[in-house]
Amino acid sequence: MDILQLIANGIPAGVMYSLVALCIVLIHNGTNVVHFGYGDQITFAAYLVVITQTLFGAPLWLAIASSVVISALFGLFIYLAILAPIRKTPLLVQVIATLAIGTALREGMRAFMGPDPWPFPALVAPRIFNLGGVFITSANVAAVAIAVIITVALFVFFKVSKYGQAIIAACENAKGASIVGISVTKVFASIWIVASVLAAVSAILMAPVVTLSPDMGLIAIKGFCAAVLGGFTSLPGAIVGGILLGLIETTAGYYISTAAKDVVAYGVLIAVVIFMPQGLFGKAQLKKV
Amino acid sequence: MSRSQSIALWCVIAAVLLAGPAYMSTHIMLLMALIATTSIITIGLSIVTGLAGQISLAQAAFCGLGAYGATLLSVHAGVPMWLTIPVTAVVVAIIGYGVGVMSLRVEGHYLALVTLAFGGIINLGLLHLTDLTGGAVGRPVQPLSIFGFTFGSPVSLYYLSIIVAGAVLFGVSNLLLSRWGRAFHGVRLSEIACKSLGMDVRRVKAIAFAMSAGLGALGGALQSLQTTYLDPAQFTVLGSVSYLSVLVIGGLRSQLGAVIGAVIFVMAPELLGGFKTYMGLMFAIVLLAIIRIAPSGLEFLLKSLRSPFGKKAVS
Amino acid sequence: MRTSTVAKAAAFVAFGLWGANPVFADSTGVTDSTIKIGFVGSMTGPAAIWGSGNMAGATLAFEELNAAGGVNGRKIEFITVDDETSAPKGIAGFNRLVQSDKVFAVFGPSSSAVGVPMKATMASSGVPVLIPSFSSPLMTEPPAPNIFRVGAINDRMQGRGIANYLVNTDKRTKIAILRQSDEYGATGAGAVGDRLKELKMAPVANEVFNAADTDFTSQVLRVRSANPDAIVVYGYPAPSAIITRQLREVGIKAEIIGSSATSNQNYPELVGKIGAGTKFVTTLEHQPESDFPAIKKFREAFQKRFPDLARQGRPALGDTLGYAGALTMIEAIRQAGKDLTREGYVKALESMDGYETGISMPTHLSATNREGNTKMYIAVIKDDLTREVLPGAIETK
Repeated sequence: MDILQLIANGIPAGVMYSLVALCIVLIHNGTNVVHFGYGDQITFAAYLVVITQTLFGAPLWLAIASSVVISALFGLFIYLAILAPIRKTPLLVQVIATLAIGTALREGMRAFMGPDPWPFPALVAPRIFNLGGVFITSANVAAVAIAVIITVALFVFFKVSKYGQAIIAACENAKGASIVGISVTKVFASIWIVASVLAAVSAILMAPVVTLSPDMGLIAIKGFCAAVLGGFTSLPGAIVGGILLGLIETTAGYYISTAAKDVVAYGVLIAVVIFMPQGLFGKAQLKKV
Repeated sequence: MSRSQSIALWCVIAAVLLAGPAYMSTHIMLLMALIATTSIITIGLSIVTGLAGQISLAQAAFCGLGAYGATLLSVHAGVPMWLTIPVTAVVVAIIGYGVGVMSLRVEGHYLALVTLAFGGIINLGLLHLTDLTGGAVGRPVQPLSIFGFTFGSPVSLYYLSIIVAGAVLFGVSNLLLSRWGRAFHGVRLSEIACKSLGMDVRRVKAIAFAMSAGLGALGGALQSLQTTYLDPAQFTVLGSVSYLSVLVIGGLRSQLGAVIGAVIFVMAPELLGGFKTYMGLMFAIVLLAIIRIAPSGLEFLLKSLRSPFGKKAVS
Repeated sequence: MRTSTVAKAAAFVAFGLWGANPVFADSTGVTDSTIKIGFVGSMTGPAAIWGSGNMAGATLAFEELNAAGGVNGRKIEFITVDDETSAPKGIAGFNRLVQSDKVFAVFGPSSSAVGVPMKATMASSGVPVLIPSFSSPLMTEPPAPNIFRVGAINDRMQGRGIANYLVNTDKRTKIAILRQSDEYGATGAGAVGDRLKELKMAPVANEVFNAADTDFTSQVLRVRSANPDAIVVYGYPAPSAIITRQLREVGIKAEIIGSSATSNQNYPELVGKIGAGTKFVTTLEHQPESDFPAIKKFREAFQKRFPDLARQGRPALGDTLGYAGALTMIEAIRQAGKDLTREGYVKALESMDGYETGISMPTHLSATNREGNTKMYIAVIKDDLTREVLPGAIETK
C-alpha cells in the first residue's frame, strides 16, 4: 500500500530532477560546459517572482512573466559576457566560472532577500486528490503535466522545426554547421536562453513545494546525478534518469533508511561512471586528443 | 633575479616568519597558522588540478578524512597524534590513489561530478556514523603532545604550522622538478601524447590524486589542532569549491599560487568584511573578473621570483 | 633586534597568552566615554538566518542607547565580525575582537555549528560572552565562568518542555518524533525522548531528516504506520514546513508541534493553509507581530531603522532575541556602575533574578547558573494563519 504512495511521490520528485538534468544536458551538448551554477539560476528566477510581487506589487502572472524574461536575458548575459569569451581556457577554469556564477547568485540573494525561507505562491490552488488511499497533490499533478508538455514541445522543436535542426547540427559539428551558414554563436546563445527560460519554469514548480531559500539550488546536484544516469548526451535520457532517480531515492529511503536515501544519488552517479559511463541512453564518450 | 639573490630572499622570509611571535599579536599568529595549514591543502590541490589537470571537488573531503582520522585513531587505538597525523595522511593518500584509478575512465566535467559525489558520500559518512564520529554534533579534537609538550598555545601552533608548511613547500617544489613534475605536466597537456611515449597515464593520474589527498589530509589534521573541534559541516563540497576558487585566483599551476590562494582564503573576510552580507557576492564577482582578465591567476605577477633550486619546471 | 628585547617581547606575549585564569578585574575596552562591544555571528552561510537577526536587533538597541546618552555616561562602540558559519573563522574572528580590537565583552555567536567549537577558545580567553539566541546546551552545561545565555531556551530544556506539555497538559499517549540530523535536532529530540522515558513512555516513531532535504515521503509514511496522536518536528523552518505539509498530505490527522525554530512569523505562510492547527514552541510571550505595547514599539523602531529588512518581513525571532539580549547586556553594564570592570559586569549578570526586558522571557542568572531563561510557551497557528500564544508558561527544569 505504501509502495503506491512512494511511487506517487517519487515521480514528481524525480520530474524536478529531470527538468534540471534536461537543461544541464542541453547546455553541455551545445557548449561543452557543465553549468554548475544552474541550480542557483533556478533560485534566482524564483526570487525574481517574489521580488516583483513584493517590491513592485505586481500580480502573479506579471511577476512570472517578468521572471521568465529577466531569466532569459540573464542567461544570454552569462553566455556572451562570461562563458563565450573564456571558451578557450582550460576546462577547469570554465567549471570554476560556472561555480562562481552560482555562488554570486546564491550569496547575492541571501544578502538582498535575507537568509530566511520565503513563502512562494502556488501556481494552482492546493488540493489533495484521494485515489483509493493514494494521495496526490495538485502540485504533483502540475509538475508532471508541465514536464510532459515541455518534453513534447522540445521533441517537436528539435525534430520538426528548422531552428531545432540547426541547434542539433551545431551541437554535433560546430565547424560543419558554420560552413553551411548556421551562426554557431546564435545557436549557443539560444540554447542558453532556452535553458534559462526552463529555469524559470522549474522555479515556479519547485519553489512552492521545496520552499524558497538561497540554498534551494543545491537540489541541482541531484539533477547532475540524473543526467549521468540517463547518459549525458541524451535529452530523453535526462528525463528518464530523473524520474528513475526520484523513484530509487524514495523507495530506498523507505525500505532501507534515511541515510541510504542521501547516499543513493551519489552512489548511482559513481556506479554509473564506473560500470556504465554512457548511462542508460548515451553514446560512449570518446576522449578528445 | 639571480639564484643567490633568490636564496637570500627565501632566507630572509624564513627568518621573518620564525621570529614571528616577537612582533605578532595572537590574532595575527593564529591567522598565519591558518594560512599555513590552508597552504598545505591548496598546494595539494594544485598538484592534481593545476599540474596534472584533473578536476577535484573532493579536497575538503580529504581534509575531513585527515582530521577525523587522526583524532579517532588516536582516541580509539591510543596512538599519539604525532604518529596518527602522518599515518592518516598516508592512508588517505592511498584512498586518493583509488579515486585516481577510478578517474581513469572519465575526464573533464565527469571527473568533477565523480569527485563531488565522492566528497558528498564522505560527508554523509561523517554525519551518519554517529557512534564513530559523533555525527552532526561533532567531537573535540585530540590535542597533539610530544615528549610531554602539548601544542595548544597560539605560539606553538604557529611554529608547528609554519614549519610543516615550509617543509611541504620545499618538498613539493623539489619533487616537481623531478620526472614526476614533468609527468604531471605531460598528462595535463596531452594524455594521448604521453601514452604514445610509453607513460602509464593511469598511474601518473592516480599518483597525482594520491599526493593531493595526502596533503589535504595533513593540512586538515593540522588545522583541526587549531579549531579544536570537528563537525561534518566543516568538510562539505562548498569548502572544496572555495579551495578551488582561491587556487584559480592565486594561480593554478604553482605552489606560490597555492600559497597566495591560501592567503586570500583566510584574509577575505578581513578584507571584504566591509561589504557585510554582500561579502560572498563580492568574492564571486572578483573571481569572475580575474577569470576573465587573468585566467592564469595573480601568480603570474610574481613570475620573476625564482625557486632557489634553479629554473622552474615547464610552465 | 637585540636578544634581550626579543626575549622580553616573547615573554610579554607568552604571559599575555598564558593568562590561564580569567582576569576579570580589568577594564579593557572601556574609556571614559565609550565601551567597546564585539559581535561575532553568522552573517553569511547557512546559519545566517540567526546571525543577521542578532546583529540587527543588537545594533538597534545600542543605537537607541547611544541616542539617549549612553549607559553611566558611556556610549557603546559596536564592532562586528562575520564567522561565515565556519568554526575556524569564528574562532579567528573572536580572537581578533579580543586581541586586536580589545573589546570589553562579546555578544554572540549565533549558531551551534560555530558556537560549540568556539567554547574552549571563549572560556580560556576570560572575556565575558553573552549569547542571545542559539540553543546548544553545551554552552552552559558545564558552565564556564564567563559565558552566559539569555532569552533563548536551550534544546535540552526545550525537549523536556515539549514532552511535559504533550503528556501532562495535552494528554497525548502516542508520540512520534521527527528530528533534524544535526546537533540541533539530535539534542532537542533526544531530550524529548529522555523525558518521555522518565514519564514511562516511548515514542512510537523516531525518524531523522536533513535540513537541506526537500522530500520526506519515506519518513512520513513510516510515521503514518505508527499511528501517532501527536508528532514532534524538531528542525529548521524550511524542512519543518515541508514535513508538516507532507504529513497532512498523506492523511495524518495527529497534532503537530514544532520547535522554536518554527516560531518565525512567516512560518504559517510557509506551510500554507494546510498547516492550520500546528503548534510551536516560543520563548516570546508576545510574538513580534502582536500589538503588545513594548513589542509594537520595538517593531516600529526596527522597521524604521532597517527598511530593507522590513521589506523581508522582519523583525523576526532572531532580531527580537538580539534586541532583548543587548538590552540585558546594557542593564548589566549599568548595574556594574561607573567604575566598570569585566568582573563587575559578570557579577551584575549573576545577580539578575527576574530582569525583564518586556520583550523576551525574564532572565534568572546566578553564581552557578549561566542559563538565563528556562521557561517557554506553546503557541498555535490558527485557521487564518495568525498565531496565538496559549496561556501558561511551561517549566522545563
